[in-house]
Amino acid sequence: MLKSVERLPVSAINLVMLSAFLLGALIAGALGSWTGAAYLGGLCLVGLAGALYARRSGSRDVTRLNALEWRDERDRTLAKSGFAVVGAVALLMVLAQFIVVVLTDAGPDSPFMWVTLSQMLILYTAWGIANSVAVRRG
Amino acid sequence: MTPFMVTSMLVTMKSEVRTLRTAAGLSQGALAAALGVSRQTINAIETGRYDPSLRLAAQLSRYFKQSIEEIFDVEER
Repeated sequence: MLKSVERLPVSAINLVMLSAFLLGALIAGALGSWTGAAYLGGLCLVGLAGALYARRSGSRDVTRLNALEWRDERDRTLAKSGFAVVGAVALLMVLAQFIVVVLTDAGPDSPFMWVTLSQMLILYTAWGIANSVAVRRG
Repeated sequence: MTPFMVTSMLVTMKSEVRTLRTAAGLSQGALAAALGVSRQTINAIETGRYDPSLRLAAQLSRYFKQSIEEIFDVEER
């Protein structure tokens, strides 16, 4: 891993997520939605606190995994296993959702149909790309 | 082996990490800090729950000045 990334107070993925929450809070505030700003700002603070708690030296491995603060190769291996299960569940769930959409006769005018189709396309494309990358690197 | 022959082989890996670590008077945390991994990773290697990557095995080998084969033993059952 790059030295500059290692020196960050939180992991790179947490930095992206927390920045997204903060940006969302600022935009919500600028648009006058104070409730939205409070929710997103609160999520940003909770996420930051969780990441810093997981980052401390004596933290448990499951705490680090849940907070996306991987420390070493074992953490990354365990995280891959966890994400693999999440991915498999997501693929099955979107398939089930698609079947429900078809059975309920949601036509092309239904946003539910387009959301489901988009999710399915994105998930199955991501799966295919991930498999290709894994095979090429393997 | 014929194409239809199926072999079933269980492979387990034993490590001498705990023996070497205690001989060096190190805690799991101290060894983990020296290698840049978590204490739980050292514990998992010692108890056989985690097989380290070749990179980490080489790090352990250099740290204890022993060959990888001396630290890790693959057993076929």
